[in-house]
Amino acid sequence: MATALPLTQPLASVETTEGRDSLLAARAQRGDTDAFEELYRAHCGRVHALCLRLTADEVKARELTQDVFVRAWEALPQFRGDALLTTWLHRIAVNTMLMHRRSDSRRLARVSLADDDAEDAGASLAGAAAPHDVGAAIDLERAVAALPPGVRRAFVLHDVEGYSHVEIARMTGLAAGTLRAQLHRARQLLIRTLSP
Amino acid sequence: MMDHLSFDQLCDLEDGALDPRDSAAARAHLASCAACATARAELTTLRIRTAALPREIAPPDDLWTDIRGRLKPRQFRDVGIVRGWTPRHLAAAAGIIAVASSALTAVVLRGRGTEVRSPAVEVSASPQASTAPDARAPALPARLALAENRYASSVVALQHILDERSDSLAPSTIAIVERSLRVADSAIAEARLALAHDPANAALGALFASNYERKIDLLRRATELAPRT
Repeated sequence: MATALPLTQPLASVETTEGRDSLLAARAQRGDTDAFEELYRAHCGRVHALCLRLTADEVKARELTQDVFVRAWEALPQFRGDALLTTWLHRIAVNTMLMHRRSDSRRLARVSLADDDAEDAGASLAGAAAPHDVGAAIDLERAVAALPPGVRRAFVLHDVEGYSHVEIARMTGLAAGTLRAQLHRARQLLIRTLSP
Repeated sequence: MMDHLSFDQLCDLEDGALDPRDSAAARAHLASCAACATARAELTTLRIRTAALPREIAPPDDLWTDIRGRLKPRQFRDVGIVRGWTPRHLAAAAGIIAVASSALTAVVLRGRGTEVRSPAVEVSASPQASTAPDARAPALPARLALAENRYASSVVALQHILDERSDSLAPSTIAIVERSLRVADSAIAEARLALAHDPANAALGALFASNYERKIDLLRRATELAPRT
């Protein structure tokens, strides 16, 4: 195993998150797992939130979060530093989630909008089990978790994470028009579910 | 009066995706249609609630242990296969790291006016000596050397100013500056050495740049503390 590069710049002297991430990433690139653990501690909450919302399943979210950080460790030598580490990790999370889906033909069949529609017909959002509790936002989290997979993904990536239709289309390979339809469907279902 | 707005139109209005003409027409309709205004309000409420969702949800406590067990030891040859690192990237990377020399500032300000100032102590005997890369050090690729020269020019200019004004600084201040500069020089040298072996590594480039930024910031702050004589 390669010896970690001695860091001469004390982390305490770095004021910005980006600067701290750059230094930790540099150490982790050289094989320093302690530095990588610090990166994990700093970013696991956001990554896990994304995984949990994308999968709506605590067990799968745990597996996905684990895979994201293992892939990140493996891909760190290729990390150029020209994007924020958190953005880079999010892309790994989305790609990993998509790969999980593609490798599971049974689940893959549920991704399409047409199947989402069929699923909607018999789905009762209010009756769905909540995978987790996030305090005051639990009603919305429950409703999001109960969305059909395709529309949930569109809603989480666009409305929660702030990706544009173009970015989501690039990541998922779906047409922007399809994503727009999924997003609108998600909003419609959520409003219906959350209405008193 | 136009027909009711479709849900897609309301979403596009909420997202700012309608062209100005359609947007104006939709807003005019909303002003006179309670049903559409209510639907729009529901969308707005959903957007606000979504924005309030927690950005972070902590994973199970033991997850790191599982991840740690799956990390393969890094092979040295894995590092530094990135291409395309340029002085522009280096300069951009430098901009993201702010170095905290506020402790130095605080020490100096606390002691200002109470210490004996000695003109005998120099901040730097030879600016060039502490700035120019060690001749024995491995050479950097041309693009990185160019970036380093730009930093070094700034360092030389600031050190020149500081040398000229060093008489107005207290010995303890000068000692702190010297010590900090030695640390910065050491950091630059180590990052430079690593970068010379792995010139395409962007993170190392960021580290190298940040160390130069640190030195420049230290010098700039020191010159600000030393009034013109």
